Amino acid sequence: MSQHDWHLTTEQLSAYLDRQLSEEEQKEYKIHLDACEQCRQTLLELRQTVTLLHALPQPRLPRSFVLPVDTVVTPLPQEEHIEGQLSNPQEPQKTLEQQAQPAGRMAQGVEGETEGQPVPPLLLAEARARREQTRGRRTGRTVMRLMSGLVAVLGIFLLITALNFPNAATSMSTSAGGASVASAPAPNAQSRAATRNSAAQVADGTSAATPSIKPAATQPEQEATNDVAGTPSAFAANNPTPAPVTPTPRVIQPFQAQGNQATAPPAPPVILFFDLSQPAGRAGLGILLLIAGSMGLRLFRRRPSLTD
Amino acid sequence: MSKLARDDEEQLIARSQRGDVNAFNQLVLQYQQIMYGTVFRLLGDYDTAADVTQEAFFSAFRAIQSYRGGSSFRAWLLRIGSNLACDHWRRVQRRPAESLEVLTAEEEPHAPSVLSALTMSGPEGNPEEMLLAQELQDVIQQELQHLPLDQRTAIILCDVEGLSYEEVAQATETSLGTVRSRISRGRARLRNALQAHQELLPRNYRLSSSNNE
Repeated sequence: MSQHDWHLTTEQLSAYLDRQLSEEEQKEYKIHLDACEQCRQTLLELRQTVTLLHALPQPRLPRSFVLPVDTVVTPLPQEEHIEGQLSNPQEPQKTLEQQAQPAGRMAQGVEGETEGQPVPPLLLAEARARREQTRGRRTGRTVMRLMSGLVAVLGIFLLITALNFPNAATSMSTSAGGASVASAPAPNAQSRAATRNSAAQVADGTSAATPSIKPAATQPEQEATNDVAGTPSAFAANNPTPAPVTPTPRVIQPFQAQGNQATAPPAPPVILFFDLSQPAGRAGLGILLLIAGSMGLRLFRRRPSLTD
Repeated sequence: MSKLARDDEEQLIARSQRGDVNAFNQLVLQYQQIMYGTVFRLLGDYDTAADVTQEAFFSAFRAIQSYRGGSSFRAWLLRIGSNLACDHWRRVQRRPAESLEVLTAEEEPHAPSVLSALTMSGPEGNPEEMLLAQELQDVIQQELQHLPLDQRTAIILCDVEGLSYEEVAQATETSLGTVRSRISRGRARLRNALQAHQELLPRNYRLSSSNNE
């Protein structure tokens, strides 16, 4: 009788039945089966089910399916998923789809598919997609996959620029008076400029770009800076006490920088509420695009097998 | 029709790839039974299966150049056929009024002359000689259609049509592991579903009430 506290899974038994196991496993399972009544029973039921399926007869052919002798088709190169489009002479495949083929040969085994997922509205990709939609769902999926890949790459690119060139789109360097542009994150640059311009010590590099400062202390200063376009000297005049002064240079710098920015090269575009002049904005948009691209790539996987 | 020798088949494929319809038709004759059988078992309707089968052969001829020697031609053909059938099934699923149900016995044009009683050879009998009653066939077909599409395809290709795991993997474009998992799950589901119809099963096939998975 079965004294075993473990049993073979249905999958294991199924594989055993079909001899899909290694020699070792086959022997191992046999030994267990000899001693385990329950597993023997399960195996028997599986075997019976398979036998029933084997015994299903082939339906009789209603007719012959040979093609008409005058059938002429334009042969198509690699088609991964073939739609039934009879006797329409197909246009030759565009290189777009051929390039997408290798991308389509991705890790398999992913199930589930949905169609018609929304894609970030990149104009170029949209126009191409509309053109391609008319050629059928299969090519549409291929194009969606390609677009998703592009979107993901764009997202990565934006992320990289955000991390490496935080000041690239801004003219912080000029306003900060020569603070290094390439590697210094924006807050540090601003604080360095602050220390240069005022005697106050700004030690921490916390987000000087966003004036997230104690509201009570800086309220009067903020109002002052809003009115005045802000040189540090004007500042110092408005701030009698040294304590509130320390936050204010941090407050003033972004405004000052942005004031200078107005005269500098035109501001970068703002896409989807992400300000591309800010590294945070680029990073945010980059992450968004990356996620959208990855989702698109997964959604439009080649093998459309639905589980109900 | 006797099975084509390997090189004969290779020749026919090569000629088909050069546009020779007659050569391709030789292949059609060879494989149409298994194609039709597969598509029918997937969809459950004779007329629809015939349409899809015809479509599949047209598609196969159009795409014949993409067939690379070295893999199973049968699996390649059945990939096309099962894909089309699955597409059709999914399209129909969205229009419930047209859902495909197994036809009643009278409408089947093919009904092999089976006995209403079951015939079974002896206990060690050859399973291939077993004939199933029409009612049992209908029930199995019905339950097949209740399986999720991927499990259904795997079961039909492997257990009904006799493809190897390797061929099933090619036809479904998945890995062996996935094939194994789908087949085992499909079998388990089918087994459970058939327990509800025990009276139709051969006497010594009555499934026990144990429900271990």
